[in-house]
Amino acid sequence: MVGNSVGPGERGRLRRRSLLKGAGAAGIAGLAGCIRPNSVTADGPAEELIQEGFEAADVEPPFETTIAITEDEERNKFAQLLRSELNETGFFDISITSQDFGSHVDMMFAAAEQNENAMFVSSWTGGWDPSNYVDMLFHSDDHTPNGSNIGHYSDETVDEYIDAGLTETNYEDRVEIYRNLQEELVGDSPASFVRFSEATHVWDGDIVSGWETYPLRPGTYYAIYAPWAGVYTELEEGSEFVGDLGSDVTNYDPIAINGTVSSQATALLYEQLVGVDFDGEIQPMLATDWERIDDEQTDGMRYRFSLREGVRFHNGERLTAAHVKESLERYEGTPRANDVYDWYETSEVVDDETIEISCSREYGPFESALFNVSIVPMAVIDGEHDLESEPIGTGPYRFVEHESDDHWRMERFDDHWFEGSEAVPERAPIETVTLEIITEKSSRQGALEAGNIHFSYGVPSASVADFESDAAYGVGRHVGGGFDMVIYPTYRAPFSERSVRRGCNMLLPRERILENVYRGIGQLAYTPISPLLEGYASESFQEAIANEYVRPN
Amino acid sequence: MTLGRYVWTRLLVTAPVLFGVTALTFSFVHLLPGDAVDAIIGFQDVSPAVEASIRAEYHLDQPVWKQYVLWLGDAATLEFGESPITGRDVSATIGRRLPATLALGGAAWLLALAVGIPAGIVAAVREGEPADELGRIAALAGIATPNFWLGLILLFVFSVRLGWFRVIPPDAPLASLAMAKFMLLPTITLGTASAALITRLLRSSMRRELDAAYVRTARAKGLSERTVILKHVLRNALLPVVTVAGLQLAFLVDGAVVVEQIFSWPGMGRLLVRSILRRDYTVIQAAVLVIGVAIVIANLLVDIVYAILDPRIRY
Repeated sequence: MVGNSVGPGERGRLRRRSLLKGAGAAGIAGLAGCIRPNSVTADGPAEELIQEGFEAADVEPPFETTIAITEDEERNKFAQLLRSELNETGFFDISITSQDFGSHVDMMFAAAEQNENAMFVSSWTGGWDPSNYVDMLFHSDDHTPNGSNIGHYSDETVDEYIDAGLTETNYEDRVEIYRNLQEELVGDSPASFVRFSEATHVWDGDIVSGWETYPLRPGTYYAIYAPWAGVYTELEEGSEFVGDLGSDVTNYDPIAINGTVSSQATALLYEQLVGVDFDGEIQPMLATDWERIDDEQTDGMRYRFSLREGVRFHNGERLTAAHVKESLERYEGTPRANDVYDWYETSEVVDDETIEISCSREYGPFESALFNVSIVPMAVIDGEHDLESEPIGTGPYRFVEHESDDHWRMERFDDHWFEGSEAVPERAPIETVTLEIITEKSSRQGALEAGNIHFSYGVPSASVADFESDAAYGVGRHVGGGFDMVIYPTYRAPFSERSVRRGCNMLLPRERILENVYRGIGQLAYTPISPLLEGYASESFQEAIANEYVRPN
Repeated sequence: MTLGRYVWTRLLVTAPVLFGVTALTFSFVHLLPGDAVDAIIGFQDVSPAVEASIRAEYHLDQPVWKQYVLWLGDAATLEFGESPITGRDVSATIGRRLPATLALGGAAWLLALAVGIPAGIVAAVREGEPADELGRIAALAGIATPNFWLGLILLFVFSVRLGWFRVIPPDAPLASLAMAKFMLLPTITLGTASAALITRLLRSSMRRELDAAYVRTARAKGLSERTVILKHVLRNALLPVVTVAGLQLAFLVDGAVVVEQIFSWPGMGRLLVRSILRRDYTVIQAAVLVIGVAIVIANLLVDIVYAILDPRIRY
């Protein structure tokens, strides 16, 4: 992704419309305070906003509500800090409801329908495209239960920006759209963005050398060998790398996978036409190059891809254009159909090494969407092989075994297409990759310290500093592709009032949460799109938004 | 009724018990919000036709009672089908977990008896002496220590600091020396509370017996103290211990979630919890059935041991 740093002029460029709404709100709040002398006195701009919203919604303080969280120590501390901050205003009387993960998710997805009186502390995982961070959460077409818009937030301007961002293909224009969209969202605050997550990788420095930290969770193990991204790892001793997985692998088939761990485990087995490397740049993987070739008959976009020659699947099949077409079209009628059919129209096999893909519309995230489509062998298409029994792809490693809740094992695939370059050797130096499935965080740390595993991506936040100061370990930290947030129930009063949400957003003790709950792991967030996507979320842009909308002054 | 006939009658009664247990689980699981289809599609925007076809494939479009009847028919032939979430065979999934759970649970149970019974006897015979006091403190500590705490401390001290054991299970078959060595810490973690409970129970039950008239008679007859204690007192004092030990045995089959988490043990506990979170009915039902059978068998064993220990008990 092109770096697009913007100077101090940023603040002046913020859209004025939302600003004016804010100013008007404060004026009314002052007046309202005079009319009702008995209500809680508002102290400072945030509380004035909340007071104004309470008046408008005709809600008497203190308003009783709850913060719903999963049973988790970090979430609990998070909620405690939020609760004490909001209760202190006198406008709220908040309790905390914690549930097991499954019940929590079910509650969130039924919340609007049940008119649930709750705020939700939740997290969201995005990806390499800015649309990943906002679409499902805030578009009015994505109200639960069919989308992830938990607060049933609806705003025409936001919808327009989201739609425009998807169909825009010019980078500069997209940056403009997503910056406007973020400003609109923060101004309206259907949710408060609190903290950007961080990929924190820790490895045994005596054994692992050359590890690179991939920012997004599913790509954690690309560091082992990703010639398309110019990255590989060597071992100082032995030929087996032992890493970890935070829970069991559920599915092996790309069209059935909907959990991070399954994606992580299979990332070295499957390949796609293109990849997004460690810096967010699109790189050729199974396609060697591609160009846009629209003609008069095309409604949307049409691309021609040249495929790499001499690519073998783990079952011996040779990659052809037909594999690509069938791998795209097998998504039809499956739960993950939207991954492809949101933009895919048809494709035409020109010859074995060439395919033309037509899209039903202009689609901004086209290339990063292709990174989600794994190419599978014909044996799967013909129904002779079930990927859920054994995953088969073209990746540099092949599947060996999976002992449920115990380990996942892969071995080097010696017929992999890569022929070597100056940066990356022809064959992966690591022969066997074993990923131990360890659910307990302290056990992951213990296993690393005892030398039972060489690498972990999930040691407790509190221990990261210790590993950093210990020369025997390597630590890689990179801002990740997700954020923590507080979702407001915009479907009910008083959270239907934007001034209440904005007031809460201003009061949210972000610094204290980052320091006390996450021990400084991660970055403060004011906007949804991760700074990983530099152009869309540069530091100066974040600062400008924070100063304008979040920091009380 | 002879013991043999009693066992047969009890086994016959087992069928309706298991029926009740599985029917209750089935309805409870369906009372939880959300279902397996949500887990499969992961709350994505899916066309109603796709969702309907997934529902139909796993009979989730049928009324709950009918789903239960369908399941019952399959279960009667030990046919548990495949999980809608993972697409994998449920019998195989449980078949892989059960040995690990039985091994760990069995080891912990044996440890509890091997420590609890001698400690209980010593404490009862040496009432008020330092051995008894020490046993009391140790037993109270054992009962009061949460097993996740004990597990983490053992792991930290013996595996991480001293490096005597692995933190995660070795890549070795269940019946191997390496695995037996690894199992030591989880066995202690899991067995400590039971051992402590049995110690206290046996001590108090033996104290009661020691004051009984027949003990004085036995001693007056000139029997050695050893014979009096082991042959007469212990035998009578064991009845409540058998009840508790039997129940503990049954609990061992459902796995020890916390201990399994800490020691990354691939047992039934983790499987069951994960399946509940994902609303994976097929796995939940099969696991509950297995646990139900285990509890029924454990109770039956308790009754048989009663009859052997106390000839007055007749069925």
